[in-house]
Amino acid sequence: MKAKKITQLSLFCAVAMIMSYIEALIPLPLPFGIKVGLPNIIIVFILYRFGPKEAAIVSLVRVILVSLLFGNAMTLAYSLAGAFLSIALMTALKATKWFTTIGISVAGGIFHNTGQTIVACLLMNTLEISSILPLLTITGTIAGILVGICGHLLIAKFPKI
Amino acid sequence: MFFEIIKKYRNDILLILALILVSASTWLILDTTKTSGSTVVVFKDNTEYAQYDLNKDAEIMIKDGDEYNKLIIKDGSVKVVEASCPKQMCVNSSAISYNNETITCLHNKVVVKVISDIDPEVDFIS
Repeated sequence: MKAKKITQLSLFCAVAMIMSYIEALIPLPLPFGIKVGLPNIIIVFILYRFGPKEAAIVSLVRVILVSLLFGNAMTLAYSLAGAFLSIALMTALKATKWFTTIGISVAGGIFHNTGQTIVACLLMNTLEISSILPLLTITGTIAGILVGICGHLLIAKFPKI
Repeated sequence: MFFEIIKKYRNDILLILALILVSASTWLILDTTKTSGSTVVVFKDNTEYAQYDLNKDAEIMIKDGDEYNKLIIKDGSVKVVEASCPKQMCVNSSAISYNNETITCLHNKVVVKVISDIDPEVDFIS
């Protein structure tokens, strides 16, 4: 990886981290820490501009740093699961070339939430996935559409560097 | 205008509908296979604390020093009505009555679980 690319990716990683922080500041009246997934805007952008490998690296670094700064070992475990499930799915869907950023980010959003919840269920062995699945799908879809629109605008307007 | 948008994002809309369908059917399968429970088991600090009959109305106090959780069993369902924890997530959880449903209070390390006597060992999650 060239120094220029490393610099660019770390810059985007910093932006994604700030997004996580802003997101943590916005209180949502939803249980289980369901979030909008603002950092996903950056991940979608990187997925399109750089590629899946770069998106996975930035996502990994972001999740680790954010968990170390604002969370704990538990959040790290389920954030990682969610992040990777969502990146894998978004990469696969992007490769088909059938979908725009909106469809891809909706799928990514839903699977990010679902991955997190499955791991949280496995770790704590207490939550019932069936009772929260509808909520996860609805919030994931709405948030995914918003993130997809933002990602689309960012990809279209951001100058090539 | 409206039809143009639909045409442009046809695949995305189909994908979203497919995802919702998959999730809805998973939820339906999970929801219809659940059976009603008959016993309330309370775990405190990861060990079993007490068992109660779900079909007998009762008020239960789980105390540990200053920490407490107050449960009410009524009409075959159990609910946490009062707790000393700061987040009150257990109090805000809705009443549970089906097999394997749980209410968790992370702060006081209290887990309230409904089980059915017929098959108490089966755990759907793990």
